Amino acid sequence: MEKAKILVIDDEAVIRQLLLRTLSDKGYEVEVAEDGSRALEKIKSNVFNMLITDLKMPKVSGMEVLAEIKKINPYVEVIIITGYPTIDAAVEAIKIGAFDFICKPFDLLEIQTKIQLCLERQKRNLSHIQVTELTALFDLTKASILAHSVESLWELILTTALEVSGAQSGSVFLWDKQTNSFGKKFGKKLWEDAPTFTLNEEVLAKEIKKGETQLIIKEKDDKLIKELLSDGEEPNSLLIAPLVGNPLHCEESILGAVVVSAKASGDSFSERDKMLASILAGQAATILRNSELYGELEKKVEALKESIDKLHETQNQLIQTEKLASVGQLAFGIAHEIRNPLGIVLGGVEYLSTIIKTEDSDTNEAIAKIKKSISRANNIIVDLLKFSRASRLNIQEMDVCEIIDEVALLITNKAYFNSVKIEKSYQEDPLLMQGDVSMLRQVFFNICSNAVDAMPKGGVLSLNILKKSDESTGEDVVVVEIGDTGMGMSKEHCLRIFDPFFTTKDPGKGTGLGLSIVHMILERHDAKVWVESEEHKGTKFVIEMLQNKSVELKNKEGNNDG
Amino acid sequence: MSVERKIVVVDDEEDFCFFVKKNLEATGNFRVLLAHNGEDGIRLTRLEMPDVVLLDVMMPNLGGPDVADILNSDPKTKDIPVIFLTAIVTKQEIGVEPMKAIGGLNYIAKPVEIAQLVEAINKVISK
Repeated sequence: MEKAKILVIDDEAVIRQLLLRTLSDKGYEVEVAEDGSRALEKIKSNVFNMLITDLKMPKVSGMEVLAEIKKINPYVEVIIITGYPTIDAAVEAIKIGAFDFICKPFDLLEIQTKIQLCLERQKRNLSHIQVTELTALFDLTKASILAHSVESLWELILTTALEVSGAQSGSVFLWDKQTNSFGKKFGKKLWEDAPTFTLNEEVLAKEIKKGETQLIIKEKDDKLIKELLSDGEEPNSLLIAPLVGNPLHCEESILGAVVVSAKASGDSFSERDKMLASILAGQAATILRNSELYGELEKKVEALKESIDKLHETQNQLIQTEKLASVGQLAFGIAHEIRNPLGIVLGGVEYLSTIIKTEDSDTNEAIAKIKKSISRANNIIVDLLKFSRASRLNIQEMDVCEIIDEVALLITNKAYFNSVKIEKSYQEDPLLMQGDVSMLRQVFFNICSNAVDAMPKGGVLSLNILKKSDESTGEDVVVVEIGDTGMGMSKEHCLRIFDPFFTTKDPGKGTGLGLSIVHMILERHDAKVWVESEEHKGTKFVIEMLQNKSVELKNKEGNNDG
Repeated sequence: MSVERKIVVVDDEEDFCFFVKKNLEATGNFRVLLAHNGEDGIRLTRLEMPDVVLLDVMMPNLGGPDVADILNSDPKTKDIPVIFLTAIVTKQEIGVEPMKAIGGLNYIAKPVEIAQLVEAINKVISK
């Protein structure tokens, strides 16, 4: 165990020597001072557990030493020895914080017992105080985990600072890197009429840039106090604790400062308070730095979430457009297959009715019923065709590069599994044009998806966007080329590729509607699409769209129903 | 009694052709000749020089619009009016705007009542 350090102050050399020898023998580390001023010097450069001081001394009296030491270190215990005991002196000594009062001449045994008692009490007090302070610091760490905003963290730090330093009021100042000055600040006082002080922020900034916690005592640093407190009341001491993110780069990493003033006991802050404030500042800086990192992480997670949501939305839209377009394609297919037989039935009935040429009402009614049923069946087809065209184009200004980017993103996984590399080349980016975003996205997606399917053993999916002007009309044309390095197609396949229900895929793998949907959508955009393919070399889809079309033209339904 | 008009019907649906022929001829105003593919249709038209050609749109090999194009580019047949008969009259099927397809193009959706068909034929002939 560390030896207890005792300072003996007495102007009588005999007593000094006596106590030095006796107490050293008992295992204490003893220093002596012959008067008050010497004692104060020693107190400033050493930490003592205990002082044994004479009351009546030249220059600085024992009482003054006592008052002074309590300011520097409130936990030092003091025993006063005097040859001229008075009740008043004793009461005052105890009031200032002396532990006990011994009269000269004293019994060595008595003084030893008192020293022992005094040190034990100090130990108990100190451990109690340490636990309280540590608990406050620990609570800060614990609560910081639950803090829901940076503001609440600052509030927490300030509360803890007040608690561990015993101050009545304090403030936190947040450093704003952009303006290189203090930004927001929060103040807090323990009770309504606790004194508050207005600080000169420029001076404070200069001080915190030193990066160290400072204990400023009015008597010692009067000039600084006057500079710091531009006007109004001045506290007897201040603690300034800078919060530094990286101690190696104080100036660059300053996060803010905690300033506490006016100790509740009326005393000045002690070295111990300064040490605690410094620990607190270090811990607070770490917490803030963590919260900053956490905030950045949260932002990134948020951004990621957003893009995933967008991806889902795009996928849903694709499915929706695909569904509608599929219904359309199905309607066309069904219409053709059903209307022809209906035509035959109608022709047949009309032929029979001409031949029979009867006045029999039952027969005529039967013929009318057959005709009515044909018309009913036909109306279903008409409705289906109308429905498939019900979704009008939503023409707006859009960036074709952005859409191709989205499609590339949607196809990334599929391409990855087929070892397909995606290569993009945009002549202009962004390239604005008029079109229906979700419809055109569907077009590019269907073509890209087919292109990747055409390369089961890997290859390159090239996405090119160019701009040119139409040779005959001089209008600006946006050209999208989607190429693969797959197996290519025969001429016969190329001719039939946009037919509904035509597919080269295995049964169950494709509906044969994808490219006919592409054709339908592009047609409604008055766009051109064609295929260039060479067997074993690859296929290229070329889409030419007018960059600026009148909305009226584009929104018209491209079909006439008979 | 009006003059008997000569009609060529080109459609790969043979049963449909059969009843169109029967029904038109039953009116007593028309004589109907049938072809079941585009090539035969062109040959028959050149040979017979009908008053009207009724043309199916979707046929294997040579489709209706192609047949119409060929007839239209031949000075001999270019003035013969054409009426398209189709299960779906859409721009998608014909490849161009229906009304623009061939000079004064007419089209009729299947199934068609004979009275409607007669009306359409008379309309193009009177032009």
